[in-house]
Amino acid sequence: MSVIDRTCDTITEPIYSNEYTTAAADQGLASCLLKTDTQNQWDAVIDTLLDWLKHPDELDYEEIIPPSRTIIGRACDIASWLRSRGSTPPLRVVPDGEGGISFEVRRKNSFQSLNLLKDSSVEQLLFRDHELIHRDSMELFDSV
Amino acid sequence: MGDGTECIEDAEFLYRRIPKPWFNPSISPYPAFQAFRPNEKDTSGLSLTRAKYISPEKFAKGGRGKQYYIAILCAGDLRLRGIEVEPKPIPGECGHAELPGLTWENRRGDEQRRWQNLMAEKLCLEIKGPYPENL
Repeated sequence: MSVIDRTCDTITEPIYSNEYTTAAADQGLASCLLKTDTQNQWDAVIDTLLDWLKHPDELDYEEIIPPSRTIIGRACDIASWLRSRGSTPPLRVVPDGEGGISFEVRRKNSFQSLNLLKDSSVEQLLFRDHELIHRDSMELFDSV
Repeated sequence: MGDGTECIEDAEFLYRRIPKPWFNPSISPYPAFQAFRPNEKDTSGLSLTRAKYISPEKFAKGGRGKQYYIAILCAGDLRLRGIEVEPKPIPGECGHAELPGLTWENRRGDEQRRWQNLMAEKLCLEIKGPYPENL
């Protein structure tokens, strides 16, 4: 198992323990449709990241330090890996404003943020009813 | 209207400028919480501006021709959640205000993260824009 696999397993325990696809796996055609939809949503996330590479001016705001090409590439790696697992796609992917990238996942009353920071470390935050109930961080890649 | 040093009333509205990458109404009615994260300039508190001193359109124009949204918050709502807000007029912006409990230095604290999430998902009364409407 690669470092990414091991770390993503850890990272995704609360965020990407995907009850939707697990439940759907037993539902024949419905699960196929759902999985396709999941893949499409991940594709849209990766497209957004690639768009930032092609059009860096989109993030050219005084409030935002844009992510480097290396960080965008690593975010694509994470997204591709999670897509291959059929994990729940994020609601959106956004620059964190400090040179990193955040994947935001929402479910009912919970909100989760997987943050790839500027130095390539990864942080996960889990909020429930707006309370921060879980937080951890780890090294996923070599530092940049 | 005062000179910006008068106390901020609980009923006053405040604006926070949100760069377009942090809000897409077709994806979510809420902005990303990063829109309420202090930047390096926010050493003494997250910057807001008092609605009574400026229109959202004018406030959004500070952004070098880029499109911004304007989030509207109420001072009393912030205080009810333990988030203090103080007047802090600066040259050229007498309506400038700050949240002294939320700074660049403490932005990653648990309480500060909670506040950022609260402001993004609960305390935004409305989001106007984008401004300018057409680029």
